[in-house]
Amino acid sequence: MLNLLNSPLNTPLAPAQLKPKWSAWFILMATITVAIASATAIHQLNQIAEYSDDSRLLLTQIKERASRLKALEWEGIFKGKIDQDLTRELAENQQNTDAILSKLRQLNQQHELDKFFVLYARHKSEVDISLKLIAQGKAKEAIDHHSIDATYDQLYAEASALENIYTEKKGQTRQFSDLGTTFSLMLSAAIISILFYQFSQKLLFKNQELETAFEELQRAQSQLIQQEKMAALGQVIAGVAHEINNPLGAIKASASNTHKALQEALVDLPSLHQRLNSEEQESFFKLIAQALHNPPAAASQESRALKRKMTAQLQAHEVEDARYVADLLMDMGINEEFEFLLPLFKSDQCEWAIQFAYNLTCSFVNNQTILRAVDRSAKIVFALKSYARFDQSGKKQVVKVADGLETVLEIYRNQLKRNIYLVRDYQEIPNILGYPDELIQVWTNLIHNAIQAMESGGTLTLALHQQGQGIVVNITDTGLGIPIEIQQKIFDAFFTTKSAGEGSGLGLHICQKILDKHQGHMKVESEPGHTQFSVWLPIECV
Amino acid sequence: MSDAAILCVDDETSILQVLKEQLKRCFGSRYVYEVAQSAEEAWIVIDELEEEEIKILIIVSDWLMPNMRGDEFLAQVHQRFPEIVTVMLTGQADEAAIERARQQANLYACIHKPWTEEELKRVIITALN
Ligand SMILES: Nc1ncnc2c1ncn2[C@@H]1O[C@H](COP(=O)(O)OP(=O)(O)OP(=O)(O)O)[C@@H](O)[C@H]1O
Ligand SMILES: [Mg+2]
Repeated sequence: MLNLLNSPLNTPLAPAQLKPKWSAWFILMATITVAIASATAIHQLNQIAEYSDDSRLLLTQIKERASRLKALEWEGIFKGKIDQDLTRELAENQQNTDAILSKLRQLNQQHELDKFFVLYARHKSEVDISLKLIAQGKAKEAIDHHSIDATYDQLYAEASALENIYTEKKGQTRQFSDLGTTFSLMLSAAIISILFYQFSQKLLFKNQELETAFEELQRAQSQLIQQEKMAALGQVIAGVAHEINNPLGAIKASASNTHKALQEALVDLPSLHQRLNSEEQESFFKLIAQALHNPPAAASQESRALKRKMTAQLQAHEVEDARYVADLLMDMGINEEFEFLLPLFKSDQCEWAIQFAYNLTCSFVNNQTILRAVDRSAKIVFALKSYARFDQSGKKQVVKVADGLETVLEIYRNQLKRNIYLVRDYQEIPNILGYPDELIQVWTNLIHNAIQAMESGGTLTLALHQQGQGIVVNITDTGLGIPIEIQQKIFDAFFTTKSAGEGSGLGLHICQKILDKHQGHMKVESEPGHTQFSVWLPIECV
Repeated sequence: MSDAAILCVDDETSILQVLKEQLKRCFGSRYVYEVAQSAEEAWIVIDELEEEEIKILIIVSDWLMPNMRGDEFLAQVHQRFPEIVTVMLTGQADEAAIERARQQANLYACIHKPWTEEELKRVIITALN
């Protein structure tokens, strides 16, 4: 039964699942490369920006130093000499300037500062000449010689121009690096979306896979339900066979009895007038009329007492085989009132006449028996048919709940017959909409459990009534009950307290599933000697 | 008048009716025929017949009946009246039950439903000779 469950889960993994995996790896690697590249580029751009900024700052400082030098030179001219203070300040300025220049030289990798250095050197030599003249006390000559202003202006102009270039360069590189950052952000966004897309594709795929698996499971479950039903049927089939053999036996015996009776009657018929006089004949035909009218006496203590009384009376009339004749009369439905038979009793043809009357009339009783037996067989066959039916249309149908219960009772009839007293308490309830076969499965499981719980006999009560927008089916047994500590577990699949051959533990689990499908529910109430399973089902508009 | 009886036990009245008619047709007034719908009722009939000093020769019993199974009933009968021939008439051949009846009730024969009159007749005739 369980191998069914395996098949849907064993489906090999679709190869399609591998493809998204590979491309995801590829995209991931590409992304990382691009990310590293763009990070490097941005870093470089930032370095350029920084270097431009540094150069610009240094140039500004150089400009300051140059104007300071010019100021010192003028001081020297005014003083007419280079005194100690001036010498110190000049040295200090020179030192600072040299430091800045050496830094600038380091940054001058692309030789864009070459012209600046040339201009600086020229200006410096002019200043040196002027300072030398001042030191020689030739301040007047120094002023005449003065071309410092020109070289200074040139230097200053070049520095300012460079400053501008660097500012621009810094702006540009910043812009570039911003652009790069934006680009990498956008790229990562794109990558993330792609990955996310692939991920959701995979999820979708997995979802579809799960959905099919779920559908397969549902199909397997309904097959399981059917199999469990069939297994239950297998258990009861022997009993049902017995049930059908009873009416068959009755039919066969009745038919052969009728046949024999008619054969004997046809032999006896011609001698009727010779054997019986008119008074006896009158009594004979009255007997036949009564026999056709009355049902045979059922076997009971009273009927046996009556038979003994009749036997005694027949013996009083010296009827031979009085007990046998009394028995025939009882079987013809004759009881207390048999005064009209006196003429026959007195006749020496008494036994013959009564046997003849019996043969003529017994076919009616036998026919009744046959008709009843046929009805009974038809009922069993119908029950088997509705029990074994498995509707696969999946559509709800009009369900007469009582009919379903009766079908199951018919199937379990011979098990109930052993020692279980059956009580039906059916109230009028409306038809409901549902799955008749599956509901039969619910009744089967509950009734079967109840029977199993009453191994040594008891009472099974089936009650039906309407409750609000639903109907309630109560199945009550007087069996051993369910211990409180396992009451929670009994609805679990495979929970059973029965031996391997007797129970699989699926019964109640399947009931629950079927009731879920009907939006119904079930509860249990149990103590030793009283267990009630209560099922509620919605009516829904029929 | 006959002082020997055949008792039939089955929970279905129609089976009892046809069985009795068959027996009457086969053996006529040679025996007394009684029927009972359950083991309990059968015991009442047995007691009644004993009172009437009618000896039961054969009991033909169904197997599956309410309260007491046929094999159990026949075993009890056999314990009290070992001379009574026990026959089972059943629609359900429960081999274990038949075997039990053979051992505990000295079961003479098991007839399966649906049966023929000849089968029944033969079993009873051979049992009584
Ligand atoms: N009416 C009841 N009386 C006592 N115990 C019950 C009754 N109904 C169910 N149970 C307990 O609940 C358990 C689970 O029942 P369920 O019908 O699910 O499985 P099962 O009867 O053991 O096996 P399966 O129904 O598959 O043949 C039973 O083993 C039994 O212990
Ligand atoms: Mg069960």
